[in-house]
Amino acid sequence: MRNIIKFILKRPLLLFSVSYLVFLTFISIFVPFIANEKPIIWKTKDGKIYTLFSKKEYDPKNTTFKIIPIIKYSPNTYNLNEILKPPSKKHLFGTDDRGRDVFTRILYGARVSMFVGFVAVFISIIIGTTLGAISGYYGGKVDFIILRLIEIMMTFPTIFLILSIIAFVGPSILNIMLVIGFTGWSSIARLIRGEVLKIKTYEFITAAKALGFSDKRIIFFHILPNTLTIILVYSTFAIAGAILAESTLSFLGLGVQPPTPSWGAMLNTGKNYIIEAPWLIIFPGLFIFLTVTSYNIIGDTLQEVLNPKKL
Amino acid sequence: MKNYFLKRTFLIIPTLIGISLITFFIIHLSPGDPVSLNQGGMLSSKMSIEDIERIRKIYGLDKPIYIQYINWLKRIVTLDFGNSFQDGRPVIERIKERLPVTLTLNIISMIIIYTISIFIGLMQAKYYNSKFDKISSIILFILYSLPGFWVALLLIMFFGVKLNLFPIYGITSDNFSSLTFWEKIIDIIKHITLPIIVMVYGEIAYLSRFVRNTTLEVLKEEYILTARAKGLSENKVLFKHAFRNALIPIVTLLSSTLPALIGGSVIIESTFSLPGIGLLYYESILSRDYPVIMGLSFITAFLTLIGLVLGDFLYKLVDPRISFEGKKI
Repeated sequence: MRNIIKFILKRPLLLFSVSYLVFLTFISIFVPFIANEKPIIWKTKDGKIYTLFSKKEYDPKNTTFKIIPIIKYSPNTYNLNEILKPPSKKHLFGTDDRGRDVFTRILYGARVSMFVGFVAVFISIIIGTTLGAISGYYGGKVDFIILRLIEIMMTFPTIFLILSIIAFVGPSILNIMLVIGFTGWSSIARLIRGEVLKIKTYEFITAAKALGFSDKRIIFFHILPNTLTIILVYSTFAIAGAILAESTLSFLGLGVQPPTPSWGAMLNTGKNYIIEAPWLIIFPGLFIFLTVTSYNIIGDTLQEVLNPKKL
Repeated sequence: MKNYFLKRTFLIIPTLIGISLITFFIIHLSPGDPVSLNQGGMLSSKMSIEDIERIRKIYGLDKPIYIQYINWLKRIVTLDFGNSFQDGRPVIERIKERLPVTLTLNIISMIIIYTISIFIGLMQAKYYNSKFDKISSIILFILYSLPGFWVALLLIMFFGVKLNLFPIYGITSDNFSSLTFWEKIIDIIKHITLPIIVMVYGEIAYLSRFVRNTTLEVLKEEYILTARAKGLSENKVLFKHAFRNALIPIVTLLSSTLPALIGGSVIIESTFSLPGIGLLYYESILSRDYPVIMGLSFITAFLTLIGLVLGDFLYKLVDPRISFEGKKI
C-alpha cells in the first residue's frame, strides 16, 4: 500500500487523475448533501425534525434550527429571474436558460456519468469474459460461432449501432447503459479468448482436470482469476469510453433526457446559446474531458506497470 | 495461403447476413414505424386508419417481419437497396449524392493525419526520452482524450463566432454559384477547415503514439545494431532501416480505416450541418427511414469486412515472413 502511494506521488499527472476521480466519486455519492435548496436537516417551530429526504416543504419562516448544504441550489429548480447569468460569486459557473445553477447541475451530472460508465462496463465485462472464456476453452464449433459473433459486433460501426438502437427503443438512462454495455463486449472477449488459449496449456490446468474438476469450476476458479489484470486495464479504458459515449449520445439529444442533468445534455442546450453564454459549453465539456483523461491516464499507467497484452 | 484468403472472403457472407439480420430486427421490432410516426415522418398525422393501412401495404410493412426480411434479402442480392421512405428516390441515389462531402472530408483528413503523425512519431522515436519526447507525449495524450463534439463547439465559438474567421455550418456559402472557380475552392476550404481540425486531432494523437512505439520496438532489433555497427548515420538507420519495418503495422491500420472513409461522422457532420453520409444516417434514424438505414449499415459493414481481409493481405504483401498457415480464422 505504501509503495502504491509513493508510486502515485512521484507522478504528478497520475496523482491529479487519482485525486480527481476520488473527488468525483465522493461527489456522485453525496451530492444531495452538498448541493440542495433544502437544508440537510431542520427543525420547525412545533419541534418536529425533518431531513432533506422528507417530503415536507422547507419553509424558512417556520424554522428554528437548520444545517444547510454548501451550495444552496437544486439541479432542477427553475429561477426565471436568473436566466443566462455569467459566472459570479453567487453562481460559480453561471446559470443556464432556465436560471438553474450550472455548477450544481455539473455536480449532479457526475452521478449520471459515473453510474453509466460503471454499469455499462460491468455489463460488457460479464458478457465479454464469459463468451471469451467459453470460446477459448472449448474451441471447435463453439469457438467458431463465438468468433463470428465477435466479428459481427466489431464490424458494426459502434456509434451507428448505439444511435439506431437508442432511437428505436427510446432514450433513458437504463437503455443507454444496456446499449453501451451490450455493444462494447467484443474487444474484451477477444482479449480473454487469447489469454485463455494460453492459460489452458499450463500445467495447473492439466492438474485441475486430472483432479476431475468440472469445466465450469476450471474456467471460473482457475482460469479467469489469472486474467484479472487484463480485465482491470481494459475496464479503466472502457469506463472512459462509456462516459464519452453517454455524453455523445446526450449531446445528440438521444441520451439522458432533460431535466436530468447530464454533461452531454448540458452541452446540447449550450450549443443554442453559443454567443450569449459560452460558460454553458466550457464547463460541462471541461468535466467530460477531465474525467475521460483521468481514466485514460490511470489505464495507461496500469498497463505500463502490469504489462498485459496491448489493448 | 490462397485457401486462407478464399475462406476469409467466403466467411464475409454469414457475417453480413448476421449483421443485416440484427439491424433489420432492431429497427422493425421497435415501437413506432415510419407511417404512424408523426414527428419528422414522411406523412402528416391527419390520416385516417385506412390511409395508414394502405400506405403500410405499399411499403410491404403489413406482412410478417420474417417475410419482410426475406424480401429485403432477395432484393439485396441484385444490389437493389430499395427506395427511401422519405422522398421515394432509390437509396443508392441518396447515398451517392451525399458521398462527395464525406469523401472529400475524409481523404483530406487522412492525408493530414498520416503525414503529421508519421513525422511526429518518428521524431519522438529519434529523440526518445528527451524533453521533446516527454512533453509532446503528454500533449498528444491530452488531445486524445478531448471529446470531439466539445472541441467542435469551442472552435465554432472562438473561430466562428468571436473572430468570425470561418463559416460555422454547411459546405458552401449561399452565393456559391456566382463565385469564380478559385473563389469556390477557397469557399469550400474555409467551410471544411474547422470540421477537418476536429476530425484529425484525435487520430493524430493516437497514430503518432502508435508510430513512436512501433519504431521504438523496431529499433531494438539486431539488424539495427548491425546497421549502426556498419557505421551508417543515425538518420539513415532511422529512416531507411527502422521506419520501413515500422511501416508494416501502420499499413494494416490503414485498411481498417476503409469503412470510416465513407462512414462519415455523425457528430461532426451534424454539428457543422455538413450534408454527408453521417448526417444522412442520423436523419434516417430520426425519421425511421428503414431502407436507407439498412442500406447504409449493409454497405459500411461490407466495407469493414473487406477492410479486414485486405488488411491481412497487405500484411502479407509488405512482410513475406508472415504466414497464415494453421492460423485460426
